[in-house]
Amino acid sequence: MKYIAVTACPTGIAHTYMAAENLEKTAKKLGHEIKVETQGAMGIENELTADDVRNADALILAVDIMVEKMERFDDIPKIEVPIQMALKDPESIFAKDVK
Amino acid sequence: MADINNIIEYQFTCPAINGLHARPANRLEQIASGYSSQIIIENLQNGKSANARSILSLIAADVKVDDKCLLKITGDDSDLAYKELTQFIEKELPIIDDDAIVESENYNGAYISPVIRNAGVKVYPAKPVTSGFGIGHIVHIDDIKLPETLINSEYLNSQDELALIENAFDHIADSLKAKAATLSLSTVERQILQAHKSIINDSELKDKIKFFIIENKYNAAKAIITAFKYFSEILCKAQSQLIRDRISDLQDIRNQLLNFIYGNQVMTKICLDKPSICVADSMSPSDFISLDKTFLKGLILKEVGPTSHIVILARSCNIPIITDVQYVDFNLPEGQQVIIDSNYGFLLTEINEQVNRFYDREKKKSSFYSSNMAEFISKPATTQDKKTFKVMANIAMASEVETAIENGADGIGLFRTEIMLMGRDCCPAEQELFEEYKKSTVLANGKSVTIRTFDIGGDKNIDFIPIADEKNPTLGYRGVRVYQKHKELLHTQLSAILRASAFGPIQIVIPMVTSYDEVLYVCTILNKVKQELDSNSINYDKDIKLGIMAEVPSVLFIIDQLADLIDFINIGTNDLKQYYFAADRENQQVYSKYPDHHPAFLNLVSRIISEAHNKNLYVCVCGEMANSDQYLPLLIGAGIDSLSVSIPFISRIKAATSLHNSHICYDMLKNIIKCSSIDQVSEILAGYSLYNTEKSIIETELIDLDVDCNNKEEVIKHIVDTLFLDQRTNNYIKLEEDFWKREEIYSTGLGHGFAIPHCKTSHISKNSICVFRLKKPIEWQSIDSEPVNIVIAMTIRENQGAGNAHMNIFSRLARNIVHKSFRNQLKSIEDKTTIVKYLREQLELSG
Repeated sequence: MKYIAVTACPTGIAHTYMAAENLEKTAKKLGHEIKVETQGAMGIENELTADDVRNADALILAVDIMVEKMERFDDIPKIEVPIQMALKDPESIFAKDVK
Repeated sequence: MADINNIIEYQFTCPAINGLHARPANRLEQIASGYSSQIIIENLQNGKSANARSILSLIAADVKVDDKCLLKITGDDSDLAYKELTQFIEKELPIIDDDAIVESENYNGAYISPVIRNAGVKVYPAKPVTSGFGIGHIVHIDDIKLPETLINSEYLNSQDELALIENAFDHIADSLKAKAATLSLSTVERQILQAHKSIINDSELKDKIKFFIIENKYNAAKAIITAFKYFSEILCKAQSQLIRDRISDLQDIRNQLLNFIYGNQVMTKICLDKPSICVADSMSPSDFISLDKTFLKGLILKEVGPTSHIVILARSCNIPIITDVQYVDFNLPEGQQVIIDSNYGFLLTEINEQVNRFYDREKKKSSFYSSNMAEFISKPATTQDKKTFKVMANIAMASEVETAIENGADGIGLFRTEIMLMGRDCCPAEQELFEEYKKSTVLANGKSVTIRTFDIGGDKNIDFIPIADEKNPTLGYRGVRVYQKHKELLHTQLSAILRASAFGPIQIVIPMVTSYDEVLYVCTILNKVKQELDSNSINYDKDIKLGIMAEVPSVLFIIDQLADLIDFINIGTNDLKQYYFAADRENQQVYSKYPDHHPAFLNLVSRIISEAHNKNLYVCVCGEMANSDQYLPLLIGAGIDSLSVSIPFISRIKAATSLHNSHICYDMLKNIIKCSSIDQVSEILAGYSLYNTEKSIIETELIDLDVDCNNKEEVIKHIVDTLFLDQRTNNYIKLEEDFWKREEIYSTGLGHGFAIPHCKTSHISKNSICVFRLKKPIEWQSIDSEPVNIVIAMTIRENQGAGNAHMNIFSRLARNIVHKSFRNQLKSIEDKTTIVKYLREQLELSG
């Protein structure tokens, strides 16, 4: 599968980046492709483009706060989880049904 | 209801939400007094029983809400009493507190360290006034002290002693009645009076005193003291604060009784004989000075302004003060051991192991801090670019000079001398003043002492110099303005100062100067005194330096003219700000609107300094502003020649100076003076402290591989203390609060035994990463429920903008932690230096 993801946490210092790293690590292990955008204290990094969205099968939202530029993702199937899940049990996220 | 041998019993569950405190007890007593039957209430929960006709014994039974109780009525009118009492218990008691305040836990003023908040002891929030903490026994300053001789004096006979008691009770009861008849009483006054009346009419209390006189053969004084102590101790053990609050009423009545019987044998002078925390409504500077500082560990005051003189004195002696204590104010039992903490702002009346650990660490922290500061103490303050200035001390007594010099003072920048006049009925003799000034210069051992001539008036009233009531004393007859009328006083003081100047370098500074003529007048008197000393062949420093206090903005415009008369200017920032902005320094509502970094104020200060320098006058800044290392770069930028600060700040200011470059400070101040708003200034100051000190994001000082903590609360406290000791934060309390704010969103326990507490905060001067390895694993509510043994704390300065280079370091650190190999390295590396090196490599930090 081809995933895109956004991570964002309340202070934007730690969990945003840990979650991103863990999603990338897990996707690789499970044989998926993934691109993760972080919305943290440094603003938006590794931003998902319209092409990224068009070519992806699903979007993982590992977020605890409102995400910026959500309108990009109107038409893509989503998996929404609390950011803690990306640290606790990332494999279960990839096993989830998309909505 | 059971009726056996004329005893009626009735079991009930206490429905009053605050229990049987003074108010319901008062009602019960009123009802019970209407019957001849004996009426007893037994608290089945704790086995205590009470006579319903004694409020003291009722509240001592400590009945709390939902406690099971038994009412027992024996006597002729028991049926009627039963009817009214059950009616009261069922109908009135459940709603008796509906209009009263339910006891609440904390008020949201001071922040209390979670280490203490979760220590399982009752914490009484209070407002911190000076910094520090103190452990000692409660001593009520306003309280009565009886001489031992009186307590142990001969026992006359029971009849005479009892007569004294009856007489005193009657007298106090009458005077309370008379007071109650006064119409103009407030509700609170009426409540207090009611409480006092119920105590004086309490049958158990009087019986207890009589018992001690008849059975123990105590004299009246000892019987009163013992009986009151007996009831105070019972009340003190009560669970309900509302009950403990009655102790002060008891003390008050006891004092009235003793005063009535023994009159002037009752002493008010306090002698401390063990570590003590003194409690008073307010305290005069002379009272403060009379207390033995070896034993004085802290003050709990009802009223005190943040810049009042008692605060200045207490700060220079390192005595912590708290005020506005919630609930207990002034009801603490005499002799009870307590801790006051005026770093955070609270009072503890219980001490357990966690509390002890906390204060052991606080002690270690302050001694470690002092040893860190030791290297700066012996040298003048020196900036990075090797510009130096003196850091001197503000004092109020010659005996403080020794402490000041020990703490690194390069001299005494401000010796306030009014204290020797306080509590006197005439001016001290010249010889006495001379001895005090001589002592100061001898102790200063060659360093200069700047003596301010008497600053009378304003908030400092002297008994033998009557000043008519003024509407605005701070704008009134004070400082140099009173000198013409009280010429002898000035003459005496100047003569004493000049004579002392033969023993070491002394300078004179004149307070509250507003115009040229005032200074000219002092010069005339000074010259006259010099001539007199010459004609008597008495030695003095013929070139003694004279200066003025710049406290009133008008001096800025007369520096030109004054230059012929004076050698230096001392800027008193508190008064200068008060008069510049027309903002009463005791009125926080207005005064707080003008922080020291107000651009218009900085403009004024820097103009006074540059005008003075143009005229070859040197400038010292004293006042609160000089105590703050936040404002230090501004004062360096303004080109000060010296600072004069409270003793505890000397080493800190000297150490902080080494972080600054005077040219950068100068440029910053120039920019700040152009700012329109205070917020802009704050932003510039914040940016400055972030980039202009030489500390890296990670250093060995921030690594601790042997951390002895029992819980998460202690770890977070250890983080902020570590940052404080490495001079990365001025406010470790706010920083602790910020860490906990983040922790409350969800735990930062990551699993695998790692936790990463972090926060974005304005209370850190440098971005920082701390790494701690814990001696024993502790619970951190981690996502895998495993305890934590490695803690990586990230502290990031707020408002530094996106894209900051440091933020990359933090995000790299976060990403690294996800990987097992990184975590294993942090678990296994044996020494601090290697950890720092490893982290710098991994986080791509240069250097």
